[in-house]
Amino acid sequence: MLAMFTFACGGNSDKANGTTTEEETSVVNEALEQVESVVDEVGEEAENIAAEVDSLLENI
Amino acid sequence: MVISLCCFGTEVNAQQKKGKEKANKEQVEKEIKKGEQKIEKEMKQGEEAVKADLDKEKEKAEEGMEKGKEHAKEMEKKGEQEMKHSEAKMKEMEKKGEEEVKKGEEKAEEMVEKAEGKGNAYGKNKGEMEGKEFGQARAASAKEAQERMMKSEQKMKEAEGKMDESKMKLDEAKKKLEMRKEAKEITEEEYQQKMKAVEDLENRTRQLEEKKMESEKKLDKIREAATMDEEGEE
Repeated sequence: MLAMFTFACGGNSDKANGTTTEEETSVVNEALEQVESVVDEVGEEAENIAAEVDSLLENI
Repeated sequence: MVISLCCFGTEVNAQQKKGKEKANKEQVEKEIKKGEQKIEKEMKQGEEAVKADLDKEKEKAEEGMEKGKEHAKEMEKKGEQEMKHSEAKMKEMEKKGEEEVKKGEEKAEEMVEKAEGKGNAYGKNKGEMEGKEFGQARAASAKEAQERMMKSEQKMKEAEGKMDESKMKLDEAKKKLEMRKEAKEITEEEYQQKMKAVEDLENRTRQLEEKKMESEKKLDKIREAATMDEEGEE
């Protein structure tokens, strides 16, 4: 299952063979870190856009 | 007597003069001949010198040609050697490539064997952990991952809310712009300029929505895989 999991997350599926708990955690963490990083970027950009929209609306 | 003496004297003088002239002529002729001989000699010497120079040059040219031929032969030999070397290198690389392919095939076979023969590899290799300890560690990891996923979801919802709000405000901005243009409160230029700013922000929002959707899909896949694992373990 971990093979599918790593594949789904775009990670290294080699890790799915002969896994230990540490390896499993590392794969999950890696995938989650990728998603978290993108989510943070999205949140930041959403805030920037909101601020620019407010400013634009005030000046119309 | 006197007269005859005079006549005789004159004759002698004339004869002497003639003799002198003849001697002079002979001398001049001799000089000319000498000069001619000298010129001839110098010409001959000159010809010989030119011939010697030409011979030398010819020798030099032949030597150069010989050297050139030798160089060409050397280069040819060198080229052949390099070709042989390249061929050997290519063969070596080919061999290496075949070895790599073989290795890859072996590894793939090994992986298939592992996957087919041993079934789910999850939890097979527990290292030095005991069953209970291993289970606890796995549960802790799963819980942590779950929490992180929830946090990411929460952040995405917040971002979504902000994006929806921005979209509404942008619609409002567009309507306001239209009204102000119709009421001639702003110039055409101002209208175009502000409308462009609105459209730019709309585009950025759209791109951000796509990015958010991609993250959601990834998160769903992670969750799905994790859920299936938990079910498999049960």
